[in-house]
Amino acid sequence: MGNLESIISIKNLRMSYGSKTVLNGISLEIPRGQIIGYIGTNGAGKSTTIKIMLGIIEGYDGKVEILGQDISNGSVEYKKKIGYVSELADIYENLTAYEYISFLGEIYGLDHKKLIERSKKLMGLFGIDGVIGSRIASYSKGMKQKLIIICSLIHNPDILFFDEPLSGLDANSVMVFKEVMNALARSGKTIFYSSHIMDVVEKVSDRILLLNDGQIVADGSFEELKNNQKEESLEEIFNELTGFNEHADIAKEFVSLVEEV
Amino acid sequence: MKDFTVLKLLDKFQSLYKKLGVNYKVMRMILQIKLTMDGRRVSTTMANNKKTDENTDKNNYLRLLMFNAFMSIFIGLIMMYDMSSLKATNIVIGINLFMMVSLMISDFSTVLLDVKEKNILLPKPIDSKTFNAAKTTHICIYLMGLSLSLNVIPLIIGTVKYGVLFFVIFIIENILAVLIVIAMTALLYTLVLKFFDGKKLKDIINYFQILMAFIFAFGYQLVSRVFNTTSMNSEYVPKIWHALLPSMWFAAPFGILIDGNRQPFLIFLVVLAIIGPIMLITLYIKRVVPYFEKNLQKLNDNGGAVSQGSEKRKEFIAALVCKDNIEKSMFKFTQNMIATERSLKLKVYPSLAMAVFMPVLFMFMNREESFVDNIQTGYGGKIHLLMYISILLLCFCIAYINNSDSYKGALIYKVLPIENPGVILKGAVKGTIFKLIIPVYIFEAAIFLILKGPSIIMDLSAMFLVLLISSLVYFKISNKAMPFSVKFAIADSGKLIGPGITTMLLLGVLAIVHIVIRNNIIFVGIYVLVLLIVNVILWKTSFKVSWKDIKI
Repeated sequence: MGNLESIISIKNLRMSYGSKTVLNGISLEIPRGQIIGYIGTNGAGKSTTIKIMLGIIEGYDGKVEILGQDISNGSVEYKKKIGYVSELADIYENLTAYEYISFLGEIYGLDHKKLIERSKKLMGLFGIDGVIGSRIASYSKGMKQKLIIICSLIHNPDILFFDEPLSGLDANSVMVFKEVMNALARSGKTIFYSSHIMDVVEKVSDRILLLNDGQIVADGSFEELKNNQKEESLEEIFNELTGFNEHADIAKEFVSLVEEV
Repeated sequence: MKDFTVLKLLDKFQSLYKKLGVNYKVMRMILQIKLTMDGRRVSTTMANNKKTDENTDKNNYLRLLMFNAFMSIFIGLIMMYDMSSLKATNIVIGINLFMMVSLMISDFSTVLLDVKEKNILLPKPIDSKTFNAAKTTHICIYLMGLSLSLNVIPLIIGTVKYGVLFFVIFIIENILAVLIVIAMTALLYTLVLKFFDGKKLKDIINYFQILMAFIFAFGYQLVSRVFNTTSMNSEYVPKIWHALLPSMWFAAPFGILIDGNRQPFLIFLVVLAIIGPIMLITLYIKRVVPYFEKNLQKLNDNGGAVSQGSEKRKEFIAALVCKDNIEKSMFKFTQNMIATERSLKLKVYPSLAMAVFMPVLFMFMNREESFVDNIQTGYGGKIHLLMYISILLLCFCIAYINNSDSYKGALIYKVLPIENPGVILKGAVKGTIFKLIIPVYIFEAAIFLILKGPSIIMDLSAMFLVLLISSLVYFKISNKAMPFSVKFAIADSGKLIGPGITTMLLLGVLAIVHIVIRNNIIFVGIYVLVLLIVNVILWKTSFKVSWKDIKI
């Protein structure tokens, strides 16, 4: 990749809600052009890390630098260069896609006419043309997800935060999207990819970060992790590192309870 | 997208925003988005969204404005009295502040305490100052509309009576008053946030609303005491504690400029009228908002299990009041939902609290006699009939149960094998009555029973039966949707005005009949019997509904 300047630099990041510690000293250096697979159990602190980087959550300890800017300095300059797909698909559903995109365009300072043209084409490529004038609330889950992905990219950002971006997409769109991610990374964009679907993370990531109990317990490419842990799949590595091995027993008991009626 | 007139008006103040470090252009865009969305509404889960009526929500707000304008006729009557403008404006502004705070707590708390929106806006290049300015301004726009509509008649009368000067001061003060209301509410919420963590916070906010309703109900008793109301023309005598009443601050300029009153204390109050709002709003911007930012996230932690209470007791009551099994489970479901729905509680609790305080307030109004004498002999010895005021407020609570934050969950009604939706509604109505209305009624009835002795049991039973009838009627005419199936929206109260007035008239008639026959125990007995029969018939016939009649 050649260019080794750090795009994201996190030093000793800690965060707690009241007495509950969520992040317990995370340090990270992420260079340009990588796809980072960010995985962890439910409640491990993945979303919290992302939300801190996006400036949604304040009150953390440690240092977070994005594109060379300490994000706690109050400037929102770096946000012009990031895109975000949130896990919960938060969007103003009462607006039409046209209105929402225009709003974003104005915030990012983009040329309106070109933006709409581009957005229409992007929507067309994703197979959702013709709905730009309808309310987002009337979209199906997949359509909404596609729109949110497009919205995260319309300002050509350098860093992308994707939190469970594939949810609701059909298999064909997933293929398109994975290819898009690869191409974006090759053109020098950094992608922070957080998901629970291990097969996908295994395939798309250049580097995998595993978070457990607010700490990074594994960091490296899939090959490296495989060699270290002597396991075959990322799923197994995940089970191993998070100390989970009773899935068969739990499943058996689950089914026996279901059949008890 | 439409360019709103309000925003053009707001443009006049843009230098003020810029001075505060707000990115005005961005804020204007956010506001435009928000106002556009307020004008629409995705009403229910399964509705065909393309068809939803664009204008319903706006109409609700307009209806609220019109209702306020109508109310302002009565407030305007105060201005007609032959008294100094100092007194008149003090009362008018006092009423206004009171109404605004109640509205702020019940309708806009959700906007103030919203955290979800951050996820959408903050990842964009929008700094938190601009984000919060947009939020505050959004609330301001609505409150100012409401405040002005509530004061429209006093404004006209005042202007005719005292000239243009009145108009100018009054308008400016209306704006300042709205600022005070927002800053004070936020400040008080901050105090709550400061002392309690996420788990407790949600409950605390509800208790806190009850307290606020109490403070304002009684606090503004003081307003009338500033002047001895029995003699309308008495001279104003300054007291130090008047400086604590914002309505006095705002009344003072009229005292000086229109009445020509030159007391130095009034000048001090005028200074407060200018400094007070500015200080409060500065405090709000500099301290409260940043604090909110850090701590509102607490509201999102859904820590802690909900205490289940006594399952057995719930089971027992459910079996007692519901025959049908589905109705029974709906009864329990409703009670659990009410216990955990924060937005619902935000709307309902203030009026529950007012229902308790209102009769007491009326008892205090008659200040000729001592409080105890008043209870024994006031209102012809039938002071407990004041509970009709509580009944009115109580039955209004029932309209809100078709609202929920998790309105999408309502699809279960369609998924589950339910043949008759009437049973669901019946269970929900009963659940609400048992969860919210009966406890308050029993509490009040018990107090009166202790004060007045067992002789009033007949009256109390009659009133209870009236309460059941009016709650049911109000529910029937205000609700077409399934319980918990509609999203909360700003200006919800607007659409309830029509049903509210109908119920008020019905309740009025029933109350007047009771008051007329109050001294004849036999007539009251017959009345109870009649009410009982009406109840049985109503409860039997009201829930014959089919899926076609339900607006989902």
